[in-house]
Amino acid sequence: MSEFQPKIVAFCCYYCAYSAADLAGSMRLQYPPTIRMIEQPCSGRIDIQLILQAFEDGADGVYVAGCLEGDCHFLKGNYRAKRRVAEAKKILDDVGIGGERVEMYNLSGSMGPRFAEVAHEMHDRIKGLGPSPLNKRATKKEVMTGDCS
Amino acid sequence: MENNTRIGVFFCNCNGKITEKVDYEEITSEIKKLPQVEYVRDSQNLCAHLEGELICKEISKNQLNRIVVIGCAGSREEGFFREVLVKAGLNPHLLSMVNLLGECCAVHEKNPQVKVKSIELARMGVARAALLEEVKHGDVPVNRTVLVIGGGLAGMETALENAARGFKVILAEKEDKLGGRLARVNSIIGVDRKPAELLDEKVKAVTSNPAIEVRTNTRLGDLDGNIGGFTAWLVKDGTETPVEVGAIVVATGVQTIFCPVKYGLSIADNVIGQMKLERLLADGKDFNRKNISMIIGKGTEAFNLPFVIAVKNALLLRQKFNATVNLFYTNIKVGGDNWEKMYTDARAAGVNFFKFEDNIEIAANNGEIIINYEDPFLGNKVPGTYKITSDYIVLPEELVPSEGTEELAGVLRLELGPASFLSIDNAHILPEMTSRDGIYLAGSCQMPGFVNEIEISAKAVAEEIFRKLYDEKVSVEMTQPYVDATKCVVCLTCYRCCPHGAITIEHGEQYENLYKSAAVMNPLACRKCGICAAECPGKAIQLPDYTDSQILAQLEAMEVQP
Repeated sequence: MSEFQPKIVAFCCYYCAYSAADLAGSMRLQYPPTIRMIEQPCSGRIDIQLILQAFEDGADGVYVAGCLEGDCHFLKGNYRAKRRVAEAKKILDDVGIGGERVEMYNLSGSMGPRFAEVAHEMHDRIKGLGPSPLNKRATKKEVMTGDCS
Repeated sequence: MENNTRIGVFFCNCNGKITEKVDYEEITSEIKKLPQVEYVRDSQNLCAHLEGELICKEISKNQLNRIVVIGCAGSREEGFFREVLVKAGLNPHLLSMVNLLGECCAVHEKNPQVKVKSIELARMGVARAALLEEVKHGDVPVNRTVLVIGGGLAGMETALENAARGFKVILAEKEDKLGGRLARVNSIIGVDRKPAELLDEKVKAVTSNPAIEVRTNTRLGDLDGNIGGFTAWLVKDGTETPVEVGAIVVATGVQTIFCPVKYGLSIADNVIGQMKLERLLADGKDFNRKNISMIIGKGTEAFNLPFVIAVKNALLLRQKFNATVNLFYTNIKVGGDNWEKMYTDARAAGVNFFKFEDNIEIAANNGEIIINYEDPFLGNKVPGTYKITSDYIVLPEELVPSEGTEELAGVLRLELGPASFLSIDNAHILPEMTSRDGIYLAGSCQMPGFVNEIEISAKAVAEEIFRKLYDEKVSVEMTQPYVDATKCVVCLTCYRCCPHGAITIEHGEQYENLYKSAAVMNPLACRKCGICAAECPGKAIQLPDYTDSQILAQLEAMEVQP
């Protein structure tokens, strides 16, 4: 069995985090190909349902990237996102998936290098935690190996 | 519509930048398996001019009604492709961009995982495209009356600029006459005119303008509605009268508070503030060969206005009355048009500048002011305190928002910024705008400013209002979130959380729920952040282009067996 490659969903706000991601692209900064970005108008658009659904759809980790605090294009969207991420953490802890699989980051549009850093950080963290209990790919394989032994 | 969704996928090589990392054939073979994809094509450079026409032809030939562009970031080329869609007769919002270059090819080395990721990204884009909805344009009737609050120079200037652009203006002033603080000063920084003269001219222009209605002794009591359709209740002598306006400009300015206690002094004839000095100068008081001390510092450093006023008055006293002027300062902030020159001029004219660092003692004694201070520069070489005796001492005043700003902010549903001044929207957008569209700030109500900046500020505000309310009916793209009335329980969550005050609760038989009412987003005031859509506990609100179903479809499409 090949090494575990996590699948991480990044909800990025259009004005800051996604610009940072685009900048990281323009700067050719390398980060692990385990990150899947979903662009959002504001980090305040992401609600708990979307975070939980991402896990249900087989993500091993989720992070929300918004603007720096106090710098949100829509005044306080990133504070709302922060609160929701904290709430999602609690729920994930309760259901046994683990709250550390979800995180909130704040970036400005010019922080391309930081975006790559965040991607590395999250990749390493999720890799350490192993596959999510809801990750069908990973569990299927485990079941298969279980059957063989 | 859903059954005949025909998706066209256009793949851009970006001159080989994309295909050097991923394989076009692999992606297309995967994509072609998807049910609704009817057409796939690649191109060397999709954003080239001729390609646009080609895409147009292919859209009509294959009857495509959703377009996926796999290439670079939406922020870069979305405008171009949307134009192409419009040319082809499609709604511009039926476009899904997949940023394969920025998200995948530029940031990863070529390896099997990148292949998986590229296929997933393409599938996510297609999944989103299948659920895209048309966004129509709508005509919104607007009221072309502007309410200006505050009849100072900024208010009058804004009223005149707005009237010049064809708006009707209501100018509300809380005092019994126009003029504001300008009537109280002696000279204006950066404007080579007498304040009284300038004021007369403006008051005449305002009162003689038929488009401007001046209401004195009036303040804003309450406010309803949104840009293009505000209802403002103006209070005069305890009676409220509603007026219908389209936009509101706040020009309430600043007020000064004279506080000599901070310096250990009490109010006396020779202990005066800068505003009082201006008044005395305007009244023609003689300062001939007097010894005058001025102080800047001790917590008045937040704005550069006090510094520039002090330097201006010091220079004037020195040149006009040949007075001895001692200016005590902790810092000098004179960054701006010609102010640095004014400072060097003051030094050249013989104004004495003394730096102090907290170690200053001021005492008023029988009409004489005695100042003891230690010089931080000389102190090392010649220790000890220095004593200076003066006839007058001029202290800086505190600059605070004018009376009632806090209540006004409450009525307007705006948040106060630093030092309780009204705060502008964040720096990415125009400095005259607030977090609510249709409410603008002019002059010193956001931060103590200068007279020569008022004209620019007033023009900017008037242009912004004109841009929004250019006609009796304005055409807007209805990209604001829409509400499913059957799910809305009128809990007011969205109304409270909207950062731009764009949400109102409407009542009527057309809303099919128990309460016959629902939240409605104003297309002119909404800035499409989607916070309401996320906060709505009943999931009644959906943001076009970012609906829940689109995002969930994207998440679902992510699953690819390696």
